[in-house]
Amino acid sequence: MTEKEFNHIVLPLTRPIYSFALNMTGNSADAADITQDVMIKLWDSRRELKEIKSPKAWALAMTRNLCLDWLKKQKPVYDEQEILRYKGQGTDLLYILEMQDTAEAVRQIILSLPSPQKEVMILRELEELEFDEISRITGLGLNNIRVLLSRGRSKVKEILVKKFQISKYEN
Amino acid sequence: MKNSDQLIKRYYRGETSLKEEQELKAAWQRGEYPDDPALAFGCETVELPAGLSEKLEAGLRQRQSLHHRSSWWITAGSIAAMLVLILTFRGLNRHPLEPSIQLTDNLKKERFEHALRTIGDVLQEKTPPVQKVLYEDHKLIIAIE
Repeated sequence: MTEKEFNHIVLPLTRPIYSFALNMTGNSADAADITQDVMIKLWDSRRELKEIKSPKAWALAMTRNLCLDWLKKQKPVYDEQEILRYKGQGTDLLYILEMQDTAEAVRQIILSLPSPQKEVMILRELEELEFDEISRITGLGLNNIRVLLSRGRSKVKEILVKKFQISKYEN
Repeated sequence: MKNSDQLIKRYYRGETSLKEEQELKAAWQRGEYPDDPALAFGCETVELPAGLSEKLEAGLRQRQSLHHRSSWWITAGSIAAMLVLILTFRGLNRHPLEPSIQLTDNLKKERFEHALRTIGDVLQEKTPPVQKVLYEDHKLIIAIE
């Protein structure tokens, strides 16, 4: 891949890479660092990129691996129980969830999901990738991906319904 | 069962296509499906933090210029190596006894006559036998004892 092709095809992937990293790590500064590392690795492997059908999927697979390495070094910040019970510095996360717009609330919940579910949700809902691309990135089978997606969506709905008390489900 | 109910059920089973999911999200943004706020995810555009694009471009430009410099050195080195090979090959193929002076026909004739006179002088004299070279060029040596 020439320099011109790289600038034309790969550089525009900065936003989806950053977005994916941000949703995986929950941290803007680390997501920015990971994005830089991914772009440099993509530049160094630009000869192989020419043969690849979907550079976006390749880039996100690289991002995923770096994010997983990053996550291994971190303590988990969110899990479902924390979202339901956390109190810190006088602020109630549940209150924050209620006050923030719904999209941000959904993002916080997705960050709390276990890893394979979280990855599949981000890659499908945010990056709008097809199942076969998600399979290539995560190494999961197509049926497994559908099941994880189904569970992830149902979980998000369940938590939101519990917390926001949507009237249709009140008994 | 309405189509929209069917669609949302399929969404939660993970059976919808990307196009159907995009339609569902667009519908949610219009205020439809109020009971399914999960559709809100992915409707926002993530903005890159300030300075990230510039930082990335600067980093890539640095790597690209390193690549150009190393390409230049590799090209120069290859050309130099080729020149050395060519010169070495030409040097090996050069004939070792190539005469530095091209003899004309008259000059050759003169030398031959001189050689014959010398032979004649030698035959007349009683001299101890020594080898004398009368004539020499790259093709012919005339010597007598």
